[in-house]
Amino acid sequence: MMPMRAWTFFGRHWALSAFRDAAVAGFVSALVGSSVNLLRPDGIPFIQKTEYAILVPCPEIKGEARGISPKDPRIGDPAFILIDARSREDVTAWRVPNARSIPYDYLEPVSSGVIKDLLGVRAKGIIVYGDGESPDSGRELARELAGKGLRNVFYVEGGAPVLHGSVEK
Amino acid sequence: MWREGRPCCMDRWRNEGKQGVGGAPKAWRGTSHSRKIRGRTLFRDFLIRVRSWPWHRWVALPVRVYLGGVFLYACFHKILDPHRFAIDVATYQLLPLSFVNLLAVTLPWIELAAGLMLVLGIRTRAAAVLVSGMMVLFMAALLWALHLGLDMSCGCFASSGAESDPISLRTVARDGVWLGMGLFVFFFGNDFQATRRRLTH
Repeated sequence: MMPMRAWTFFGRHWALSAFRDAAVAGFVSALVGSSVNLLRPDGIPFIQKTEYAILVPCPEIKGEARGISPKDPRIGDPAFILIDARSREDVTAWRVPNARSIPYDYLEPVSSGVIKDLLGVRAKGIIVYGDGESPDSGRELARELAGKGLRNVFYVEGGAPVLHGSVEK
Repeated sequence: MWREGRPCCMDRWRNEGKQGVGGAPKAWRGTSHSRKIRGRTLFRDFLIRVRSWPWHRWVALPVRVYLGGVFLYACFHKILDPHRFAIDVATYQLLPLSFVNLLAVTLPWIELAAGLMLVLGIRTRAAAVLVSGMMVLFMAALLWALHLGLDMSCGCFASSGAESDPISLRTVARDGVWLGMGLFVFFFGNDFQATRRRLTH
């Protein structure tokens, strides 16, 4: 018996012709699709210029965090990690000294890299403050962090506006 | 794999076996080389057994009709509403914006062609190549969306909301089953002419 390769065992010729036919069929059907799109009244442009408004539901937050007063002494304690959940612009305008900036996005979950970084830091807990609006971005971020396995996560009630006043005093 | 032209130690082993010597030479027995050759032989025997099962082509017939039906059903809403499908493609955040519409316009027609070819039995192996290729793409897109943590609908059959048809590993597994079916049709499928020949003779 002649030795043979597994490829020739299944038959090289029909395999190659199948790939060739697939390429032809794919090309022709793509051409038909493009032509139909050109002819139909509700056809779409081949190259989209503006971003699509993508609507995705907000990620479900499973954790629970406790609120603390803006005058809580733990806010200035270096043993706690302080996180600012507001946007970059707001953080540039003002922030509590030594606070880390993790802008909270209602549609995007916090990246796993950030979670890993926080898990790697030895701290008594995490205190988050946000924009103080309803819903408060600080509270939402704190809940999300708690849901991802971080312990002793707190949020500042009233957020940055209240905290700004108390820190200034 | 098997070498052609040049004699292999496997040939010597086989020839000696035919002449009544039998088995691997003593010096080879139990060595990694002999185990490798034995593994190759077992693999080849397995392939022969799989290939020679006579019912493959009959099993492949309903499989390809089912797969074709799935693709025909899937392409329907995409062809009717390309704008909606383009939004579904964009939601995956996998392609640059300039390619989104191009894919949304062409992909449903490739699905239609593959589905029709499978159902009607025209160039079924080529259709199986198309289907398997698309399934690999869909699975990659789903895994990417899951990696990003996107809470969205897969957009495979209808642009329903994420609440009714969310993407999950189950969706990936379902596509994996269809990929397996596509590969099965690729290796063992039969086109219309061959099926008719088998029915008439």
